[in-house]
Amino acid sequence: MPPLSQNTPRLHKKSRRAYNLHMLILAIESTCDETATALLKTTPQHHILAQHITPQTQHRRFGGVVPEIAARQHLANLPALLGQTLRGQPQPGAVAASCGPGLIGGLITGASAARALALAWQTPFLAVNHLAAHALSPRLAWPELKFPYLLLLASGGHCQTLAVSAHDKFRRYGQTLDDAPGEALDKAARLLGLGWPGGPALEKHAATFQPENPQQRRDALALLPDPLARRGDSDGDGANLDFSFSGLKTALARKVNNSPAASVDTAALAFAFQERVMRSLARGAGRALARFRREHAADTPLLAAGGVAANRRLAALLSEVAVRHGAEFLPLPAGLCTDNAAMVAHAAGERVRACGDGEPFPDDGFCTPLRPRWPLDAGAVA
Amino acid sequence: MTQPPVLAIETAGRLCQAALAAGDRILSRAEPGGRGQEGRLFTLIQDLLREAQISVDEIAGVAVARGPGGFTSLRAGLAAAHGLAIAKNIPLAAWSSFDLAAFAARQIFDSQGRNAGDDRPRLHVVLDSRRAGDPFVAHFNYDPNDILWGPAVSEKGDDNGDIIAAASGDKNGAAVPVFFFGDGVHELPNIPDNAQILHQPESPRGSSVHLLQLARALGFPENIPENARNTQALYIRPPQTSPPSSPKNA
Repeated sequence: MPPLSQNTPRLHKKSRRAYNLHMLILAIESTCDETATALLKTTPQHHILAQHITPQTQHRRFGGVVPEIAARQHLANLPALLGQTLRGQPQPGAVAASCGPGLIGGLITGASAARALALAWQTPFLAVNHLAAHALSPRLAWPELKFPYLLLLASGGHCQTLAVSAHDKFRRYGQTLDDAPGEALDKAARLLGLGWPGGPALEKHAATFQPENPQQRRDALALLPDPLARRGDSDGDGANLDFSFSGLKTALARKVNNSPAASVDTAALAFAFQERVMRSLARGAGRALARFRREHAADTPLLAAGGVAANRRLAALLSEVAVRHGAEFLPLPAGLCTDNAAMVAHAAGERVRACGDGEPFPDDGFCTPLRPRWPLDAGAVA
Repeated sequence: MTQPPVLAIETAGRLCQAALAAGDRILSRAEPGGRGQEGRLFTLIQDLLREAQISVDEIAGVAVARGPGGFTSLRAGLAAAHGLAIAKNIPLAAWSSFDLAAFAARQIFDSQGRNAGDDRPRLHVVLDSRRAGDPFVAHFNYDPNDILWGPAVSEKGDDNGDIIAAASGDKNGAAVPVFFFGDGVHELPNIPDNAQILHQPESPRGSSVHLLQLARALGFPENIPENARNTQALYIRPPQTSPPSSPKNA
C-alpha cells in the first residue's frame, strides 16, 4: 500500500508488547451508505465483541447513493451506534476508521468521531484502507487462513482480483475498466423498475425466471451480450484479466427502451443481466486464480468479498471455477461481504499483530489525509 | 468555586475554532478552515489542553455550534464533539449558529456602551451559506433581560426576501433601529438605510469564545439548557440529490 502521508505519525512510547495482545479496537465504517461500528478483541484470535450497523434506506428513491444524504445520515447514526457498541465494554486500546476510498463526506464524519474518541482515550488512531479491510476479512472468518491467497473484491464501488500476501501487500491482477458490478446491478435494477439496492432486487427478480427447457434459458441469456473488457493486462496466455460492465448496461438500456413496455420480459432480462455479470466475474476470478497459482504455487482457497460476493449465483459459479483449478471456494458470511466495521477493526488488528515487539505501536495521528481514492497497490493510478 | 473545564468547538463558519475554559482562563485557537481542517481541529484542541495544563480527562462538557453553515465543516466539528462526549461520558450541548451569533451581537452591542432604551431594536443574523446572494437569515427582537439579543421571531434561515420589509419598521409601520450581524451580511442584495452593521472582523459569526461564554452563562455543564439539547446538525437546506456517477472506484 502507498504510504498514508508524508506527515510524521505520532509515535506512542509504548511498544506493542506494552499494549499486550489482549487489546480492544473500536472501529468505524462510513465510506458509503452503511454506518457501522464494531469492537474487536485481538486475542487469542480476533473476536468481535460487539458490532452494529445502520444501512441507509434514504437513497432508495434516488436509485443510487446520494453523497450529501449519506454524510448527513452517518452523523445522525453514529452517536447511537457508538453508544450501543461501547455499552458495558472496557475502554478500547485503539480506535480505527475507514479513511478511504469512499465518499469524502462520510470519511470526514467517521474519521472525526474516531479521532475524537482516540484523543479522549489517549489511544492510537489507525487509518484503515476500506479495500484492505475487505481483502483481509476472510482471515477474520477463518483465522487459520494463511497468506498469500487470491480474492475477488466485487462491490458497488470496486471490482478487482487481488493477490493478498500480507496485511499491507496486495497485487492487483484485474480490475473493472468502467462500472463496478454492484453499480451496474443498481442501474439494471433501476431500468427494470426493481428498486434499490439493485443487487438483491435483481437476484430476487431473476429467480422468478423459470425456463421450461434449456433452450429457453439459452434464449434468455442471448438477450444480452457477454461483457468483454476492451483492454487490460494479460496473464501471458492472451487471457484478459480486466472487467467491463458498461457495454452490458447499455445493451440492457437499449433492449428496455427500444421495446414496447408490454413486451419486455423483466424476469428474463434480470436473469440474463445477472448471469452475464456473474459469469464475467467468475471467469476473471478463474483467470486470476490460474495466474496466482503459477506465481505462488500456493494451495489456498479462492475467496470473494464485497457486497456482490453475497450473490448466491456468483458463489455457485466461483465454486465451479475453483473446482476446475483444483481449489476450494470459501464463501464469506453475507454480513462480512457487505460494508461493516468488524472488517475495519480486524484490518487494524492485523496491522498491530504484524508490528514487531520492539517497534512503536502504529499510530496515524490526527492529520493524515482522508482519501476518496486510495488504491491498494502502489503502482496503480490513483 | 472554580468552574469545571469546558471545551467549545465552532466549525460551521469559514474558521476552524476551539476554545477551552479552565479555571478563570479562557483560551482559544482559530485557523482558516477548508481542506484538512477535520484533522487540524484536534491539533488545536491538543494545543489548548497543553497550554491550560490540563488533561483531556478533566474536560467536564463539550459545547458545539450546530449550524447552519458549511455542511462538511459543520459535520467535522459535530462528529468530533459527539466523539469526545461519548468517550468521556460527559454532557454535550449544541447551539444553533443563529443563537451563537445573536449572543455575540449582543456582546458587541453592550460592549460598545449602546443603550437600546425603549426602541427594542431588531437584529438580523445573516450567515454565509456558501451560496452567492442567498445567505441564511434569522430575526431577533431585543429583550434587555435576554442573554441573546432577544427572542427569535423567525429562524427559517432562507427568507432574506422579507428582510427589507422586516427592517423598515414594526407591525405598525413605525421605524425601529435595525442591526445586522454575521458573515453573510455582504451577501444581502440590499441593506436598508436605517440599518447598522455590527462588526467583529476576526469572528464575523461569533467565535468559539462566545460559544464558551454562552454555555457557561447558561449553567453548562451542570445544566444543559433547553435550546442546546438538540445536538443534530442544523442544515436548513435539503441535500442536493444527484447520485454520483461513480461513487468510489479506487
